[in-house]
Amino acid sequence: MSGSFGFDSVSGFAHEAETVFSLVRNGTLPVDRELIDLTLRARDWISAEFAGSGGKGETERMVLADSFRRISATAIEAGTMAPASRDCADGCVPPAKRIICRIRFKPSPDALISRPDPVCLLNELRHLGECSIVAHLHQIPPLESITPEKCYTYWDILLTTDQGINAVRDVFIFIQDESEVRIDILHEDDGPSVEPAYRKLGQILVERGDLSPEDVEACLSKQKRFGEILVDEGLASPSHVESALREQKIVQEARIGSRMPDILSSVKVPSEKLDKLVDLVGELVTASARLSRITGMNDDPRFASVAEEVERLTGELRGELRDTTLNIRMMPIGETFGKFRRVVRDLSRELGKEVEIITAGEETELDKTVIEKLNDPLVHLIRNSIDHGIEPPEVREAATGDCRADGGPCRERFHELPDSKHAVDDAEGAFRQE
Amino acid sequence: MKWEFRKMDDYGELIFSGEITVQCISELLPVLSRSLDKVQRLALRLEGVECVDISFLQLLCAAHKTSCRLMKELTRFERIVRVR
Repeated sequence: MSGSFGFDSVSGFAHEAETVFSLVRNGTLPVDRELIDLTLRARDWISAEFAGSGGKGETERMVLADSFRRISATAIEAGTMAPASRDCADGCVPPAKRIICRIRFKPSPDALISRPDPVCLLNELRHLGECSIVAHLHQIPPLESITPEKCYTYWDILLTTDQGINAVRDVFIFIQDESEVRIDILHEDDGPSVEPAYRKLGQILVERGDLSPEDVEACLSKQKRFGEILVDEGLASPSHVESALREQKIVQEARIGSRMPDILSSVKVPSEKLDKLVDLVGELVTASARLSRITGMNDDPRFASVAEEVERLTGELRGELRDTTLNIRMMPIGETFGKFRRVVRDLSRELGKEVEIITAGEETELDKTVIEKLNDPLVHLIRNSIDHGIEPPEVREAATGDCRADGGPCRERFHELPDSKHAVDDAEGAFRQE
Repeated sequence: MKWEFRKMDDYGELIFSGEITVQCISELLPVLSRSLDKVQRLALRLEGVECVDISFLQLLCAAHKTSCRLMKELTRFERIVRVR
């Protein structure tokens, strides 16, 4: 992409980095501190290039590119590594993917006599997640020809689970040879997004004003649904149609659900427009207050009744508008905390100290202007804390304090005291109140 | 499983009690067939049934198909305590 816009140096450099990231993605290369350092330096260098450094960072580019090349060569030479150690750099386990799978379960004819009972298997599936089960009964013969011990029923199951496809397969592990079990994955949360179908003909015509919604309803009520036609023609059983309709509904809802966070999570609005909106709402509230005040001073009953009517109609609406508008400017402070991680990381490396920043209360909302103003003082506080408040690892390890017994990295934490004042762990087994 | 058939003109009641599972389902088939032959309207009373399995539900479906073919009425049972 950068090559398309004429940033050839960035393009070549990014290619080296991408090779390394591909190795990380396919599990050949573990993420370690060196790689994180290089990645952050590469990010800084690319940002500087886009900002127009004029080729000043050429030495840095060469150093970084060499490092990426060396890492990828070493990793390719070393071959694969154990999958367990490459989940995350900090040892976290990636969240399980939610899948929707369709299971056609046709037990063997003697399934009712042999074990396990098909109902037990269906109940096991229920334990894996949300199940929608349709039983197909059309193969059951009339009394004259039935063998009552034989199983004629089969099931379509739509299962939404985060337990993984192997857990689903395990349910049928003991009966898979004699029964017919077909499992298809219909939807994965991070799978390729499939665009939902475009609007129906009626919706388009109504939107264009060529047809009224009532006309559409009237016409639709006259026509048979496709499923009804299939059943009437004997081409499908009612249970097959019902099963297919449930699948359609569940998968559609899941697809819409997984798209919603991308579409609706946030809308970028220039802050000037937001400020203008807040100003206008402020003026509206002020004008309204003036109107009330003038009404109180004026004895004209006609004027008073008009003012009362306006107040009645707009009073509640105005309050809501004011609160909503002010709330738009409220942002969670957590985004600011994210910036501190880089500061802490760089500074602790520079000073040779082991520091981990732990934040809480990210969801607290503050006006965006307050958040912007808070950024610099907080960075200053953090820098001072690391610089002057935290001892080097050897001093901390010598102290009994809260150094970890296993000799792992020491942690600096703020603790809240009962009197709500803050204290800093001084690594000497005591808390010094600040 | 226990059963009892009561007949009043063209209406009959088949009263079941106990557990109706695959172990005793073959006993039930002739009972259902004969009862349907004897009356025009057959009601299944299941208040005393303790549990059933798929074999019984299949037999009910089969009885329903037969009753439709014979143009007879098989009324719905009332309540099942537990499905095993």
